[in-house]
Amino acid sequence: MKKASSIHRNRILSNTAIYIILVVMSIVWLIPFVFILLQSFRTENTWMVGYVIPQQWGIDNYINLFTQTSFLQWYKNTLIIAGCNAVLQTFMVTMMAYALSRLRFKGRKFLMNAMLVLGMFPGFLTMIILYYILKSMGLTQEGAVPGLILVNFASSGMGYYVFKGFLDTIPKSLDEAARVDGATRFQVMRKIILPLSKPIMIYTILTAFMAPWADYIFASYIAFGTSSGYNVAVGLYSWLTKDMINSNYTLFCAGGVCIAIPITILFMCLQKYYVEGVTGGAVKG
Amino acid sequence: MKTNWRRILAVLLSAIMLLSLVACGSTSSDDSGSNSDSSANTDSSDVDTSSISITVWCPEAAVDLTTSQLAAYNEANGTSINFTVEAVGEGEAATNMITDVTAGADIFFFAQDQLARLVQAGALTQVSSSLADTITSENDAGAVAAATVSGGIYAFPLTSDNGYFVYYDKSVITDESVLEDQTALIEAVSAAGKTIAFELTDSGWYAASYFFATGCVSDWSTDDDGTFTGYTDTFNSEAGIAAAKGMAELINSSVFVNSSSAASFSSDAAVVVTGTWDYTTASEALGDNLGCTDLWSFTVDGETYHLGSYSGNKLLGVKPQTDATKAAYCQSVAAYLSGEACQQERFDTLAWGPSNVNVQASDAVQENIALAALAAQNEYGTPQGQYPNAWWDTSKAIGASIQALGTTSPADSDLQSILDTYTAGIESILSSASTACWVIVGDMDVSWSCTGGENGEYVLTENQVESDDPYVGIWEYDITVTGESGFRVVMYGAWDAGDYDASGIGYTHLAEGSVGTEGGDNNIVVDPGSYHVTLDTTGDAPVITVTAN
Repeated sequence: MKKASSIHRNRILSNTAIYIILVVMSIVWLIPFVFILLQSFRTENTWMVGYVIPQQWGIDNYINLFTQTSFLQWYKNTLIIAGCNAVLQTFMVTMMAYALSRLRFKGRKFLMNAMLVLGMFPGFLTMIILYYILKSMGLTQEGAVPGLILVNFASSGMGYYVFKGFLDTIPKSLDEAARVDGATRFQVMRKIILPLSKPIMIYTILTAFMAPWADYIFASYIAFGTSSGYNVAVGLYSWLTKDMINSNYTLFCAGGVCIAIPITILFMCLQKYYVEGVTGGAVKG
Repeated sequence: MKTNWRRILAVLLSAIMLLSLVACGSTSSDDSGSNSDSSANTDSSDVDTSSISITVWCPEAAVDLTTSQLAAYNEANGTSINFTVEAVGEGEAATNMITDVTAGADIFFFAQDQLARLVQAGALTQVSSSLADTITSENDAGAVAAATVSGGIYAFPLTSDNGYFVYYDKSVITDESVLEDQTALIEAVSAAGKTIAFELTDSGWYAASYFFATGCVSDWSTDDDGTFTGYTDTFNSEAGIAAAKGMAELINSSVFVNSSSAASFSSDAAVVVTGTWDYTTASEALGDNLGCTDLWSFTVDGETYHLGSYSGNKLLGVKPQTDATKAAYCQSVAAYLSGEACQQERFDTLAWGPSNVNVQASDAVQENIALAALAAQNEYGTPQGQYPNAWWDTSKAIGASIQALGTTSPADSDLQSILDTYTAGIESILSSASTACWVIVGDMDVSWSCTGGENGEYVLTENQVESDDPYVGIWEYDITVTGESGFRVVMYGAWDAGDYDASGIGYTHLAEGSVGTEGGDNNIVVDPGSYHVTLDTTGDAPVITVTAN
């Protein structure tokens, strides 16, 4: 009886310690987000200040953001790129992963190895040459949005690893059974494999949708000083010059909050699949 | 069910095809654009200006004004040029232009420190001689100098306001005499529990103000292509130590804040050192309590020095064009945008300090307190010449190193080692690009008391002149001879090559009668002291003139 109560007490102690650590860590993680959110509602002035809680609250920053600046245009650009990316990339990755996981053809191993090696080169290496190719196609500056979609789509096939890893965990016997019953390859993929791989598809869609929001280096290169071709990251960064920052700092914060909205919504809706997707793909690689 | 799926697939595939069509669409419109350009080129006698498209990059704040000014240009000249104005910050504009000149704007705003880079990248056209005369007569001398690269004017001056001065809070600094002296100012601000914001620990641009105060210089020279060829730098000297002491007094005091933003007034700053671009912010933050004045003085070892500053300009650049008609219009538009009327408008709406002497003399400009303070500070200002980008990184380390010492009165030896690090830094800037250079060395063989150097020789010159043609030119040096007699002029194949013997890339002595040949005897015997040496190798024989300073 005495022993049992001491175990109980130990558990309470250790739990308390763990929760204190967790609370402190979550506060540390949340500070930047809370800070930006609060700053975006601060209206007494537009520059950086030494305190966190606004003295005057209001939504002026958000109103100005969408009426006085080009933010809406940048937002639309990014949304278009992200949307196309989510659809096209998922389409491409699904096909790649299915083919490499289920079909056996000449050069399959070589292809996978080649892509593995190619994937080891950082993307920036090709940036200059891609810029000139896109420029010759008219896909820079005003054409930056289709240009970025094209670049993302064209390179998306190489990101098949996680998806293929997931497909490899689905027993081959399912395919074989369906084939015996007279299904075509395409029917097998559509009716058997795809419904089973919902989590990993969600994961692919999410990562494809999120990437363009944080794309700065390539996007700024392609847009090349043309405001109508900026994405949100490039546009917001252009406010950080010494003569702009003081008049646009709170707008910058409001812009940051606006960027978080679509990603957060998508994430909330698809969250439960996301975890399954990440772990599912990792079990067997 | 089956047909349904096919339909989805068909839609998806056609969407992809549509996307590639969009891509082709942009291509064709781009082609037609360049076609119309070339047609304008062929019949340049028939001036149809509606086929000319000119892109202008300017800072976001100036977009609306520039757009209306360009519309006014079309109206005044009866032209119908298609202008596109894009918001591109001044720093970004130069970087973009260098990255891809062909895709860059035809006319762009930039800060003068980018001039050498832009000329080097072939992103600027030299201004025609007639327009150059107008620029010279209508703008202040500093602005003209800022637009000049080895004798040629490459840009149109827009402003003369790229400098810094003091903004202060009148409600805290009630006695304005404390603004004259650093020690008094620190005391007054400290007593009020406020701070002084001065970006000394991560900006060479601001930190140089202390060195200029004590008479130090750092001048860099370029050749016609904008490549850096040499420097005269006296930061590492007695005067430099004095400057560093003055800096330490502020940096390591309790009131120092490293910032150059007028937003610091919203925290607890009473004094902020920044430029005219922060005027709006400062006046919003302080209202009627805003005061502006020139920088203060500091006293080291009984000597009082007034803080210096950079005075700088914004410039308007025109990129080279293949189409002669368009090129002519670009020059004309740039001249208009940088002219008196447009500078006046820019002062009225944006408070940009004009470079045009007539606008400078106008009452409104004279009454502007920020520009008045800037003008007062410019008495102590140094026109900002061309610097290699690496210099800014090297020079900004001085402030941070002084802060790391953590005391308001550091030892001379500590400061000396900071400045030695700086010297090593700037020496390495040119070494990668060097080809050859003349240097003056003291020679141990003829009884020198100095040590160091290779083969018993000690380098006396602070500016190693380096250029593609190291043999011909006129170079001037100020040297201090500490040994008992003489020095010699030699030529190094590469500065800091590490091996100065004659068999390597090596050096050759300057022989009488033939420049740069090996083994010549070139000793010049003088008493210890400081000398001004001129080396002239443009004639048949090199001439070395030595005068005592």
